[in-house]
Amino acid sequence: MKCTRYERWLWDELEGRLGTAQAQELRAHLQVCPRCQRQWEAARATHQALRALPRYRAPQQLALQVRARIQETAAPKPEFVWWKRVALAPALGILAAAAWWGWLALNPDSTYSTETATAAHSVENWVEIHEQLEVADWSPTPTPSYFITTGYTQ
Amino acid sequence: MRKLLLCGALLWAVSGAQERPLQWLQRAQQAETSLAVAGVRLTEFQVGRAVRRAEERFWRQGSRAERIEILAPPERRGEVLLHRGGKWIAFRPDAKEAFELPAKLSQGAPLIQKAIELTQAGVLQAELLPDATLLGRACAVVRLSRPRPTQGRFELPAKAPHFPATVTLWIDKETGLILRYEASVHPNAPILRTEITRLELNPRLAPDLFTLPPGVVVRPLSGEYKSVEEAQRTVSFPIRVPSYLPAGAMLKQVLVRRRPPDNTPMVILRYQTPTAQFSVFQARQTNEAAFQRPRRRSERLNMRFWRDGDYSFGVVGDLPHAEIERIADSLSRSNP
Repeated sequence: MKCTRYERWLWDELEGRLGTAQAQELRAHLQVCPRCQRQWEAARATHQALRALPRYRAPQQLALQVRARIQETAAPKPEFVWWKRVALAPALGILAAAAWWGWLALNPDSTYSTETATAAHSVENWVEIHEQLEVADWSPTPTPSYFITTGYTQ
Repeated sequence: MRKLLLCGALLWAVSGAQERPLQWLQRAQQAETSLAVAGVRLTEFQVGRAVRRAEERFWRQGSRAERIEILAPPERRGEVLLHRGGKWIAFRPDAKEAFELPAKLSQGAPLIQKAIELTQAGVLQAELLPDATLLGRACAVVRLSRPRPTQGRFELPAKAPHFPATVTLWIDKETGLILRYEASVHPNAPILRTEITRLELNPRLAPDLFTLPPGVVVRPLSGEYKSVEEAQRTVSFPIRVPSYLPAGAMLKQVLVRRRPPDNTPMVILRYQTPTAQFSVFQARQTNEAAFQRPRRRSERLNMRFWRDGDYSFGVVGDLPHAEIERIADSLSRSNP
């Protein structure tokens, strides 16, 4: 639930639309959440790739043609509008599913369901927990041990 | 003239001795156990893909008392760790209960003491690196490392008592305080770094800094236990204990972590041998399809994961693979 909120903020942050406090909160969350960190990296790469695309100015003639076509269809037939609205929802659904499938294909570590995520994460985490405990033994401050015992985030 | 030369030689010898890394360690040990200091320190521990950060304010009265207030991560901000009379207590200032931590948590002074003993025994190599400046203060930089014999192009692990592969200390030349500490548990392995980012020497330490707020009830911290039997009382399934242990292996820590969303317990038994560490994991996991072995492989750790009925098990450690297998087999044979 918490991650969902931060996922929504990723693109706002990339577009520079996020407030300072929210941006700080997002950065803090990214430091502690590997899953969101991966999503952030993917979103940032996509954003950079999109920005790197060459920009073309549409020819003046094309703009005139589009305006003329809009005027021609200014009074659309009711049945056409009805059809378009009905078609819009499944089309958006298919697009969203395709995007999600693409994301999963590109990120094999990401998981499909909360149940799978929790279970897979636990075994995956066992190696990491062992290493965390090893490292914490050699800390001059007790905080890492305390965090690992009680969960880094509560 | 001869006396002058002798005095000069003596002074040179004394100043040379002061520069020796072991003596810097001894100064650091003395400072850790005796000085009153306060400040802010940042700890980063890099494990796997993640770098964890913890920032804290601290007030320390030598080795007698210490108070730590967590500043980051934001989820833990405000929590207090209090050390007094050899015990660590964790609490939130606004809560009516505090939690006593069962294990002896790591601290600077015992670490340095161990480093001194191992250096004196010739187990660790100590070297002095070029001086550095931290917080505007001149620091001696001491690096401790385990010698690693080589054979051909492959390095063999040193059979040294348990200690990180390298530890580097930035020791304030004026006070002996450790301003920065870096440890790498194994070569090319997780790193821990602690640095004091704000320092106040001889601060006024009010006595109530090191006392619990009135009316707070102290309970044992749930999650860490002194024995398997104690942990068993909090876990619904029978905890399996390996019937085979490598020579010199001792149970070091018993942890029970609860996994969201339903607080399913996961038990971790940590063992230590004279030269290695291993952890035994066990958890109830009814969803067989969800059992996935870790994708990440480690060059230095050996591991085995398996399922038995509704339970998942794992053994992870820097023991030889055959030893990990033997421990796992002995755990498999235990009755659930």
